[in-house]
Amino acid sequence: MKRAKAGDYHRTISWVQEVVQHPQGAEAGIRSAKARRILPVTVEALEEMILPSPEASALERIDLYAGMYYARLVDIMAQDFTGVKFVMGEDAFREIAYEFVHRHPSTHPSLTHLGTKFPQYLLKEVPKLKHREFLVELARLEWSLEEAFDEMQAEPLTEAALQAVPPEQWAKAKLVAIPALRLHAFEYPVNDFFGAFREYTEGAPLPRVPKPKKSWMCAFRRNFSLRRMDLTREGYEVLSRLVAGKPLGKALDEVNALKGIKPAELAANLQTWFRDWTSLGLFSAVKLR
Amino acid sequence: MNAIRNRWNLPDLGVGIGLRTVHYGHILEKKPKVDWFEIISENFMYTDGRPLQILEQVNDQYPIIMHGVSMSIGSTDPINWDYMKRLKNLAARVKPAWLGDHVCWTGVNGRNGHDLLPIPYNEETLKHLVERIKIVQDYLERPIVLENPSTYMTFKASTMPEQEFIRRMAEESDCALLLDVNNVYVSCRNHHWDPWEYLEGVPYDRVVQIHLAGHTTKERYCLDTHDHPVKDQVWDYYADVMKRAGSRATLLEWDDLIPTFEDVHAEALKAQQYRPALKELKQAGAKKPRREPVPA
Repeated sequence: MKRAKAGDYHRTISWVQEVVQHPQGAEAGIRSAKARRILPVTVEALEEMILPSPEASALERIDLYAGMYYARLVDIMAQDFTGVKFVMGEDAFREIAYEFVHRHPSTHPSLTHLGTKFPQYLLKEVPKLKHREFLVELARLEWSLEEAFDEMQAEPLTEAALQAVPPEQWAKAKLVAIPALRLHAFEYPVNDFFGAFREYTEGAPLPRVPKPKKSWMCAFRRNFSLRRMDLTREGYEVLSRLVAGKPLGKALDEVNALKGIKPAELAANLQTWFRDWTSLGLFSAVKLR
Repeated sequence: MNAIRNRWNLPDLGVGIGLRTVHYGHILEKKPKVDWFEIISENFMYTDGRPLQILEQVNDQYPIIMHGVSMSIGSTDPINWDYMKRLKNLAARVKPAWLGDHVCWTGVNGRNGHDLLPIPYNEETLKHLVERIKIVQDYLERPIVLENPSTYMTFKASTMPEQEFIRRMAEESDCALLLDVNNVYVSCRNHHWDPWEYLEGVPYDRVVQIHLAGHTTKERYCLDTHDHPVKDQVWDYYADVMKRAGSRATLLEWDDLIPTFEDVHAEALKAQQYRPALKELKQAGAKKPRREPVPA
């Protein structure tokens, strides 16, 4: 459908959007260059656009929409990133989320996509952020749980289907991961912290930001419940290559070639990992050539 | 009693409540006797996870109506066809007796503010909305049910009252209407409109559903907060609508500070005392309410 670009109505709603979404409120929005380029309305002559009521001026009326815009979206961010909010503190989190909403306005019909860019925003765009590296990793974990929540349900691969794979074909077999699986390699023990935060009860010692310590984990959904599981480095390296679609033989060759990996240990653990990963439903199919 | 059937013969589903996550466990476990549920369409359009599983379980037991918040029918952006496709797919799955959204815009120039923003009511916007509603209805292959919004500001560019705009919009596009009597209260209070005049101007043959909700009165505004029981004045409007229109599918919205399922349902069931009795409906020629969804 053709957009009525030049129409008065298009200019009106474009102007309202600029004003309502201005981070300093409606008055600053009306005075902003962006809004004035759309419609040269002044605060003083606002009643030429918005009608006042006996109780509220035209400016107060449009400012109500501006206030509600940020309040609503910052609340959504606070629900999606409870751990990050816990570490930052309520006020600091709301200030950062407010700026995030301003810099990355939603373009999606669903609010569930609002926080997509938040981990990257914390990494790149927030000046002087205390515990930045840890908070970015925590935000990544929290967002991956959001993603896993909404991913497509897939029937897990059965033990019987695995047993049916002829031994000589295992090297070329590709294991298909369920869509609701996310892998993480962190510089901090993020999963430990997140677990402590989720289980925290008032009166207990507050979970503290941990010191750096490499960790590996996965977030996934099983029977419509979200789960988190720690991985070893070796397990993570194998699993991440399988998720990327590499045949098992090639994945193992690559991992064995990594610095610090002991092939004998890898071989010894492989069977246990596969048994655990299968029983947890991390794979949905095995493809043989 | 002046019972007007809606022009599509869409059923009076009875008294329903909004399906909200805090009540999922209770509904699935206790299977309470509820006439129907309304969902926020977008909560199920962008997920393939647990929400859809819950929805299917609830839909096995109860009629469901789809009510959206992001169609943005009043926007000047091109219609979002990915959104429409998802909406149609969800409707094929849920088989609601009807689906709808609001007379509003939620964003423009590619953005979405996730708010139901007001439209100036004039000939230009009327033509714009009618054109878009027709396109959407052609695609969805059914009438859409559009709700009067609650608003906190009005435009000098408006040249007609909201109820006249909505009546003409519905007639010219042949869409159906959801009359939110709490929104009538909120907007009339904020803009000093006459609510009785508003209700007089509603084309009841196009109204297939009523919304009830609680609001919050502040010093300068009345806010559509959906966090209280329904106020007396809103019940008065509802009673008036029932007298004018006859019985209509009625839904209580409660979206913040949500109490127990029983409390929400008890509040919704207060509507029964205002709804014409079945006997009266039969005498007036209206069809017996049907529980099963029917194709629109």
